Amino acid sequence: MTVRETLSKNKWRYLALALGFFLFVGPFALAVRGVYFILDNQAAATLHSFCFRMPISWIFEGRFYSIVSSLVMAGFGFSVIVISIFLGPLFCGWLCPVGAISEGLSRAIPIPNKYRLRIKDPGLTSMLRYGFLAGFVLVGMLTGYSLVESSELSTVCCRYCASSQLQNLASAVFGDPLTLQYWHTGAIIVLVAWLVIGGVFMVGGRGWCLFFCPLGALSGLAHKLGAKLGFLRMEHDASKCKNCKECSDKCMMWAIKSDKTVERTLCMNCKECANRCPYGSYSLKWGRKNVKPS
Amino acid sequence: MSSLRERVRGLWVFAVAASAAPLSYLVSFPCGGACLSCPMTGACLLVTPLAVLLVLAVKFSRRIKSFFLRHSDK
Repeated sequence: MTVRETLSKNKWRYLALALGFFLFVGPFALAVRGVYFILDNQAAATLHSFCFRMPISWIFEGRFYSIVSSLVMAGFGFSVIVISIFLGPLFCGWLCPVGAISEGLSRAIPIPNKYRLRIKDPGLTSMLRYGFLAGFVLVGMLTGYSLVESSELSTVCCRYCASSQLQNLASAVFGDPLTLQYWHTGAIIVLVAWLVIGGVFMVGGRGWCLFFCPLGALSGLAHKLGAKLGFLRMEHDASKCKNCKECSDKCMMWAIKSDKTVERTLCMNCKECANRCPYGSYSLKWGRKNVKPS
Repeated sequence: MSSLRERVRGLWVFAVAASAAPLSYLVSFPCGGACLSCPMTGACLLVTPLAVLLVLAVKFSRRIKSFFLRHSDK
């Protein structure tokens, strides 16, 4: 598929991803500004106004009130997960600026996929993803219940956060270079892991989303539940499939199994498989009655 | 039987990842300050690309072996 065809077939998603940057990343942060305007909140609107990671840690640190007390943060996390039940992880696939940048970088740097890393078994990828999530929660529990006395561990959330680094970078580019003072070696490691290893050297460029984003992992679980209940999901029609493997080669989330069905905990309903399949084997389905085993 | 083996392998991967995450936080917490606060003094920035290269080398090990076999004197 040529670049023009790729752009043409994915134009709505790419437009949505570009819009996501302006909706969530400061100094624009239009979505956060809108909510702040309604709430008459004078705080600065940035990607940090809601957090992808800290709330999960706070639950176990006995600071659940920190989430509930912030209407923006509680509303954001709750909305993303509830929407994932009904429509799939649309935030991850269609709006998230963090995933969009690493995915864009992956597409912009023309390294053949054979020189990039991927795990071919979606089951293993899923186990890795939820293993890392469990480890993240474990850190929250260890520090929350004071089983480990470490101020360093309790601050890992912001330090090793790609969205935090994205906001610092955007602030520096758009006129606030002082945010670079926040940068440190940990930030560089995050940038390397997010953009170079997860972006350039992993097939699809969504390595960070796959393994290190807790919100993405929770959205995946919500989507699995939603798909079981019959809400929107990607379905594979085996009768149309010619086993060309175009779908599994191009899936950014490595979600296509060997029998070409979709691993729900990884899929983000980006429609890349449906756009790539020359035989129309993939389509979004809604409802329980039409579900056919592939 | 293969299903059971896959399930065990999956659980093993889950356990390794779950234990690796807190360990990686512990190992890398000096990174929050500066390179000089860590005994590696910035070597991690060299280690990371080397690790990627190593993984790529392992991925292509069969090709590497066959390349050397093809070009060996024997």
